[in-house]
Order: sequence, then structure tokens, then C-alpha cells
Amino acid sequence: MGNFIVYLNYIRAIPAIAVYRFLLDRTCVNRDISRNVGEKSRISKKSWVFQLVWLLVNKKVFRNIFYYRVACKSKTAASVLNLFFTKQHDCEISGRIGPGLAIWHGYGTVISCNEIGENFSAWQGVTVGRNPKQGQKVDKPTIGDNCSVFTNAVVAGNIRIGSNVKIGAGSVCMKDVPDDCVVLGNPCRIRGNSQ
Amino acid sequence: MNIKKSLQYFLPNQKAFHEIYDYDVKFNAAFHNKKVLLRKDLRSWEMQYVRLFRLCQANENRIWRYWYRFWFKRVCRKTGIGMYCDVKVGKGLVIGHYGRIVVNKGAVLGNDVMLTHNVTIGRDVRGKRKGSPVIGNRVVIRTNSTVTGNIRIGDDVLIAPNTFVNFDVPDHSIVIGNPAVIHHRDNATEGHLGIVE
Repeated sequence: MGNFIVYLNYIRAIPAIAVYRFLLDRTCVNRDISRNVGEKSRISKKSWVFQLVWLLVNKKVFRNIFYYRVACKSKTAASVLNLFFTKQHDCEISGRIGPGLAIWHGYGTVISCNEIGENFSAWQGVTVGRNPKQGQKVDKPTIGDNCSVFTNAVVAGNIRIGSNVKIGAGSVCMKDVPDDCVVLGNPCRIRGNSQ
Repeated sequence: MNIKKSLQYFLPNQKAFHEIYDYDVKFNAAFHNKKVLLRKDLRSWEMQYVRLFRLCQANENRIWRYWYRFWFKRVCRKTGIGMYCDVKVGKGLVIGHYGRIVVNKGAVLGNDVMLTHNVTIGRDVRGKRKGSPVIGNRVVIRTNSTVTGNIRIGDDVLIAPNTFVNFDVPDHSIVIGNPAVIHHRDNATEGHLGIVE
């Protein structure tokens, strides 16, 4: 029954499939899709187009991620696609983000970064944003690969965060963090190995 | 005289609306470091919310309140802002991002207040701080922070992200951390809020 509804929505998703086929860098978007579906899911054995439509129908936050990739190429295409599948209103994404972006639940999530590496994941209520200070041109964070930011955490200011870092729930991170660390608490403390 | 008063009931109160809303537009332009807000910016969800919020309050005693409240409820539902139009707010309101903002109807906000996403301003149901907060002028409340209880927050205060405030805060101060700590600072909100000339 679930598959049948997805096949019905192929008609509504014709513009999205056309953009995916002809406009986008497919290797980048396929990594987004495979992370959002999950490797253990039975959907992951199906074709890429089926997985794309399944995510557009069932997971509303994925629409924001997909339209963010489209808006990098052309903003008009993103606004046209928004007519067919309306995106979640309270989730905003901007900045340069590598492939493999995943957002879970996404209520009240704002991500506006300087640069983020690949395989980034965020939960609901996460803010990655700016901390205004006088005399600084860049006031947004730079984050490495394989990082994850858990619920209601805040990462702000002109800071540099290494790769394989986990930022715990409800923490406020406003200073530089080296590789392979866990960040906890408010104001934040940096603990050792994340492995 | 009675005929003139009864006619006013059927007209929208544009004068009271523009007195406050024109200041809001100037203050939002100063917040974004722009001279004038473009039409694109005025049609964003944040400014639409502020506009309908002021329209509902200006037309409180007119028949047009039913028309404006209908559209106001729609914007509340779309943006996820749980602040109904019976909250007392001074002139100059900035909403940084929208989503999951909750404000109790007994709360009182002063002039030049900034709210961001995931902010809660709530009431305490029992104990010695039973009631809802009173917030002064030029206050910035950053993301995920909570302000509860019958407390008084002074002028020129910055509440940092992820803080829980249930105590009085004096003028010119910053509140940081969990449990929260008050630091005195002159020009606490400098750079966070714009200044209207």
C-alpha cells in the first residue's frame, strides 16, 4: 500500500525528477538520499528515483535539503518545485555544505554556515549561526567532516570545528574545537575522544 | 456625534496602525543594516507576522478585527509563532527567525525587543513567582532560552542562547550559562540591535 501511494505521486513529482535527472550533480544528491533513507531500510534496495519520490512524499524536511541543492544551480527552479511539494516553513538552510547532509525532525532548525564538510547531521532546534562582533567580516562557523549536532544545541561565531566532532544536546559552543572530541554543557566543556 | 462614532465602528483604524508599524519597519531595516526594506523583505513571514499583529491590535474595537484575526491565525499556523494579539508589546518588534516561539498572554514586552526562534516566555503556575514576566526596553532574547515567572527584566539586557531565567535581572547586564549568571556590561546589546535615527 505504501509503495502504491509513492507510484501515484510520480505524476506530481515529474518536475522534481526532471531537475534531478538533468540539472543536478547526481553523485552529491544520491549521498543525501542514501543517508536520509537509512542503509538498513527496505527502501534503499529500490531505484534512486523511487527513493527520491518516497522521501519527498514521506519526509517533509528532505524537501528543504533537496531545494537547497537545487537553489545552488538556479533559484527559479527551486521556487517552481515549491509549488508541487511545499517545504517545511521553520527550517532554513544556507551556506556551503558538502554531500551527505541529513536533518532529523527539523522543527525550528536554522543552518547558516561559512562552510561544512561531508556527512553532517543535525536534529530539531539546532542553530548554526552568526555571532555579531565589530570589525569581523566572517562571523559564521567552519565545520569539518562527519560531525553531528544534537537537539537544541547552538554553534555560533567565527570559529573552526574539526572533523569527527559530536556536540551534545543543549550545549552552546562558541570557541574552537580540535578533531575527535565531544562537546558538552552550557558554557561548553571539551572532552576527549569521541570513538 | 453618535452617528459619527457608530460610523467609525465600520472603518479600519489606519492611523493607530501606521503610528506603530512605520517605526517597526524602520527598526527592522536598521537591524538588517539597510536604509529601506525592499518589497521582498516586507513580504517575508517575519514581517507579515508583525504587520498583522499590529493590525489586530489597532482594530481591537472595530468590526474589521474578525477579518484581520482570520489572516493573523493563518500566519501563526504557518510560522509556528504562539503569540496571540492580546499580548502587550511596545513599538519596535524584531523576529530574527520564526518557529516554536511561545509567549504567554499575561506577559508585557517593552520597546525595541528582539525574539528569535525556539524562545519561550511563559508563566509560573504556583509558588512565590506565580505570574508572567515584565520585560523592559532594548532586550535581546537569543535562541532556545526560557523566561518564566513573575519577574522583571530591566533595560538593555542580553539573554544568551540556552539560558533559563526565573529571577530579576537589573539594567545593563548579560545573562549567560546554565545555571545562569549575571554579568554587568555597559552597552550590552551593542551590535545586536540597530538604532533608529
